[in-house]
Amino acid sequence: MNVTNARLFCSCLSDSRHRRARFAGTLLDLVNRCRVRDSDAWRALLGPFQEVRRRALRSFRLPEADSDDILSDALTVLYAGGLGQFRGGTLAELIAFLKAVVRNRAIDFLKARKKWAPTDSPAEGRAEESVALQVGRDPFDAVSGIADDECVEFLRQEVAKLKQEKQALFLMKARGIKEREIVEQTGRPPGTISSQIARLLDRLRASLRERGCVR
Amino acid sequence: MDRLDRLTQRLLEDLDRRTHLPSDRCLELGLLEHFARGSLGRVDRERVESHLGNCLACRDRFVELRDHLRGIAAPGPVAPRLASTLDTLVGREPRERFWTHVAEALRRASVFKVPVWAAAGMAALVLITWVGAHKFQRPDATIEWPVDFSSPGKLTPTNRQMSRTVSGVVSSLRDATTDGIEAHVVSLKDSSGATYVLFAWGQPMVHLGDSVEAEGIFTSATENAGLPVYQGVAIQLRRVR
Repeated sequence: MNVTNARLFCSCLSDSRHRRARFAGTLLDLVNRCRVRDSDAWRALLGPFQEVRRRALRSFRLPEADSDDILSDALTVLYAGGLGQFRGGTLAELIAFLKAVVRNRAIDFLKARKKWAPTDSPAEGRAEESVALQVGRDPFDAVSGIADDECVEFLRQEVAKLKQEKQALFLMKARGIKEREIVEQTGRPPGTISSQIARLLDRLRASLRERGCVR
Repeated sequence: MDRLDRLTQRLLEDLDRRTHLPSDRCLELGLLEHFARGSLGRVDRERVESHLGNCLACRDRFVELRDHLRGIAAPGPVAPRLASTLDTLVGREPRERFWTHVAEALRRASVFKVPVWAAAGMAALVLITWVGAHKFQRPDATIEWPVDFSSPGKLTPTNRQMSRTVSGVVSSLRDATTDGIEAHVVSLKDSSGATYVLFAWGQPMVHLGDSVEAEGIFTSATENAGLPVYQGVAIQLRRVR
């Protein structure tokens, strides 16, 4: 199966449940073929892999050339046997696996450039390494006088109070999903999405301001 | 990045950590996938919806998973760099390198390089051929003469540019100086009675009654009282003793 065929299969995802299940099975079958070095299967896997990379590295805010370097590096790791370590049986697990590989390569990349700031938790393992911040972490905001940890908890409480739709909207925006893609996923008009996001962020900012977390 | 952005980033990090350390109450990834694909039964669907309403970490996982599923369902074109990396890994020549080779071959074909020595040799060969062709050229057409030389006659020139030598006695000499350029016309009669009228430059070096040999180029011929008369230009006249 070549890339075009894979795309055809992929395009069926939104058509019907039957086809969605078939697509998931196809992609997992593709992975099995990749394990035995089927070059056509690898070529078909490139498109989905690239999409996972794009989403996994959104929060890293890297130049496209660096992202390409990371992706090529991750592909080399997978081809060299890394994909053989995947033991899952679902598409979600495959996505999580590919995402972890890409993010780990990205963290290595940033470490090599000394741009990676480790997360606070000493207990978290490599797979749990989170978003690599390219800016220095400031545990205490001198302007507001409220510690970040406390403000994060405030923010969590405020988001938890939102309706489910608004929660999803906030998370999609926070994850760096473009408004065009949010429109596609939610099926709402573009203008509505833009205004809803703007009102949502204003509301959260106002709530945090009341608690002294933002000015 | 303002503080709200930074706090949001921290919140996502916390959610990521919880994602990787799920509690017993959190939903399995596979269940979320089936929920995203709409393949759950009513009971399971309601359970998932209920949980997502109360668990921000699972809501975040679901949002992310749904985004990934949509992405891999309609992947964009593969970046050339990635395709090239795979080509290298599978041991094939990268496609872009192939096209680079094609472009290079076309470029080479369009630029015809000739060494200087070869160009000089070609020029010399052309020059030698041209000179040789003119030097050794042989006219192949016969000259159309005003009279028929197939009739008995001593001289039947075949080429106006080829000289002939004739012998005879000088029968007349006439000055032909024109515009200060000295010349004369000498007539010879041979033993057969044929007359040769030759134009010659300079002062006459022969006298009437001298027996001479004349090398000349004959250009025309007529008859006079049944005897041939040849006319031409003298190249050389010398007395014969």
